[in-house]
Amino acid sequence: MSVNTLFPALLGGGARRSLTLLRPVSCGVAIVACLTITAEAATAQSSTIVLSGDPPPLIVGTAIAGDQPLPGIDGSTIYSVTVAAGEKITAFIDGAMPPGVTLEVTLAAPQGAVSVGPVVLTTVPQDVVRSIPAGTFSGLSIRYTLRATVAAGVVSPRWRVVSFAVVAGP
Amino acid sequence: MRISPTVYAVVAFGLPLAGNAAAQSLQTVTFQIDPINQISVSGDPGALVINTAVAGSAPTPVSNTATTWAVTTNQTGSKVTAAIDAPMPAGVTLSLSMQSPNGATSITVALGTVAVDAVTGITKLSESGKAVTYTLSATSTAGTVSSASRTVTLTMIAGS
Repeated sequence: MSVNTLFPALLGGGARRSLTLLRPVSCGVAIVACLTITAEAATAQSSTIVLSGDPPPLIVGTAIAGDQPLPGIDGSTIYSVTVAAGEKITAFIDGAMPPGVTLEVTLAAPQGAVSVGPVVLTTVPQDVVRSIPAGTFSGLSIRYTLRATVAAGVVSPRWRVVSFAVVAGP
Repeated sequence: MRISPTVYAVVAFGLPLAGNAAAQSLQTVTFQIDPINQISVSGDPGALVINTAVAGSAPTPVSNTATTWAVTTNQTGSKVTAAIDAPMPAGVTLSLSMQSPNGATSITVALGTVAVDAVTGITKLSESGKAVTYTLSATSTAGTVSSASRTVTLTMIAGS
């Protein structure tokens, strides 16, 4: 009896799969055959987003007398994205910002897409780029803006992890 | 010896469908807010000239309110001090009064070369257009004083 007959369900349509029967291992009164099932996924293109790295620290440290503090801004990082169909990019942070402090992000849109920014980041995913056509796009800018009111006071150095995801949707 | 039949161990598992998985990537953003204490004035006041008196009284003081000041601080209990760069002539006094921002205290001070508190208790605010009042007074013994100037230095001292 071949393994292909024994496990027809595992060799169904869709993704290509194969079964490889390894050497039997003696185990007392029974012989147990170890099976390695190698599955090869379908060759459809996966959506990906790749970032160039982390931005340098954002600092709010000065103001024009009489006005709120001036924002800290960075635009040194970039991203690349590959999408298989009309998709969008969402973003969120892993924790709330301190009171009176906001972190905004603006992603440059690939050709044919729409940038929603600047988006004030929260712990809830929000659209930052919409209607991305199928294809691969690279060298797109990411701009962060840190804002603080005087009421925020002095805030010691800390961080937030920003998560970007390519998801289905317009 | 009886030979046991071969037993196949089947491990069931699932495979995700390719092509629809959401891609994700992360960035770590580091940030901080530093202490901020900024003060500015709108310009120089016009010349202060004492040239009259009510008979029997000291010369009449003169005041100027043409200038304003602005302030931003993100700290608690900041203050403004004031000083001039040289003593006033004998019998002549230059006084300063700065309109206090919300929650702060204004102190009318006679200016000297040693800095003195002019506004105290400035906490987490940004305000502009606050009045600055200079008053020049002189006793009769001061006599006549030719035109002179003094530089007033306003300094914001950080709170906590």
